[in-house]
Amino acid sequence: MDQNSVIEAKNIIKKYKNFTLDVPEFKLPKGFATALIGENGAGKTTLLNILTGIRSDYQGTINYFGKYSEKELDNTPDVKERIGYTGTDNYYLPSWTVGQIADISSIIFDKFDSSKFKKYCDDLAIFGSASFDRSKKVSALSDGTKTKLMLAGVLSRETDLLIMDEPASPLDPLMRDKLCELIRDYINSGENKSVFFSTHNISDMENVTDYAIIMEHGMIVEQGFVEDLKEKYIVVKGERDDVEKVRPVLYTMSQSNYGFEGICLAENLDKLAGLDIVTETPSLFKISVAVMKKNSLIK
Amino acid sequence: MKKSPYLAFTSLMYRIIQILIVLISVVLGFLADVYIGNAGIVMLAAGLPLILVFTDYFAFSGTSTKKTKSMQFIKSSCKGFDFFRSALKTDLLLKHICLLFSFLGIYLAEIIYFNDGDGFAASILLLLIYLPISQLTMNITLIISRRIALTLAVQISVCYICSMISTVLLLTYSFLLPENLRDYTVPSIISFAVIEILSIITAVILYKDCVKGYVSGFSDT
Repeated sequence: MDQNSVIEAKNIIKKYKNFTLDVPEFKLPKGFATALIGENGAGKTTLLNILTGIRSDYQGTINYFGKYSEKELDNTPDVKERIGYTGTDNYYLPSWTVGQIADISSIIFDKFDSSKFKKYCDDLAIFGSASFDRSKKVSALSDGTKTKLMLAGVLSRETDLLIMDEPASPLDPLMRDKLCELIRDYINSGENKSVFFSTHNISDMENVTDYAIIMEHGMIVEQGFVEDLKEKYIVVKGERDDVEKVRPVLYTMSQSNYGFEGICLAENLDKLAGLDIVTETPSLFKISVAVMKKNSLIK
Repeated sequence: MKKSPYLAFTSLMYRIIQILIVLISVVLGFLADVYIGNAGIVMLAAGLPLILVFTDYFAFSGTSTKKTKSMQFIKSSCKGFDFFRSALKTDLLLKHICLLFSFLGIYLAEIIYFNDGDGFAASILLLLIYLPISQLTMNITLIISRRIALTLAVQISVCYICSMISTVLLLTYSFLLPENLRDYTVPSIISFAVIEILSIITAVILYKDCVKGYVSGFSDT
């Protein structure tokens, strides 16, 4: 077990009728925020569900916090106590009220702090300008507010790892910014606190992402620290006349009347020597789109 | 202070409705017997579990729908399923107590009104056997039929059908069946009861396994 990993998995396989999740090796770095990026149907939710123990019908082995196996996930309270998980829509039953969520959380989680929950609900303006309302039903909340409620619930616990499935998607830009702040605060709140989240909102989450994992068709096709990925790939811009010369080297390319822009591996830059090109460091968004495009079934 | 799982899981409205059902059942049962005889009681016996299952949607609605994503929140805790099981067991127990009091209420009303409860006693006892079994099977069916293999859903359905047939046989025994067929009734009932009990035991064992894992047939990649 790598002591720098909070979760380490090997040979994870989950088969569906027309889809197979196949992850030979997976390591989640300790003490960082890791983004899981991929197209719809790439297997992100399945992977998150497997890692959190929500799904147990898979093959493979998982090690948590350097000492617990996947078999201990349900038998050793310590493991799930240390993992905070937020899902997508209907994570809480629609018929529940906010008060019920607080009550149930305090029963099923040892380290749930009701006063913290109330404070987060107020801070995140879950009830708008109104005060904390225990009788508010989950079904009456918007998708964005449900996500805020999940965040309030999970942040009110003492955990070492947050795993979040698409937390940014239903949120407005302001709240996405707040989400980044909450993630950063969480990581800074203690030693070795880690966050793992899936996202389609790469640009919004980029400033909080330390490590990125890109998935396509149930497989991890690229991963690494964002700074390393930014050195591995490079943005290339050039004249329209050179399009055909650069096409074999570039991962992806878009053309306009003025020229082209694309991404290639920095190690392949030598192959473009002699051409009138400009290079710049890519954003995580550009890297992700390039890698996804290269592996995508979308034509 | 932490609430009990049942109180945390269910709403006050749900719990009030459960009590109201008892009161309404007693009144309806009594009126049914006065105006349409035992047939009314049979209708009530068949309808009451359905009404109680319908009220489940106040508290346990999400657990029987795909929308809940297999209760991710509950599964994210090590204690989640113990909590859920505890709430469900308490709910089932209270439902059975509701049913018991309903029929005891009817029985008492019969004695007071007609001053003769002997003929009715057998039916009441038989209904009390039938109702908990059907209630249990219906609840399990609703909660897990969408999440588990078809074979188990069929098995539970068989159990429920057996339960219904037993009830019909029991209730018609005294006044509908020809004399030459009555001898077969009791062995039939015993056979059905054995099948029911085996089905329930199997269902509960499989239920325990299936809720531990994520066994729904839908993909949410």
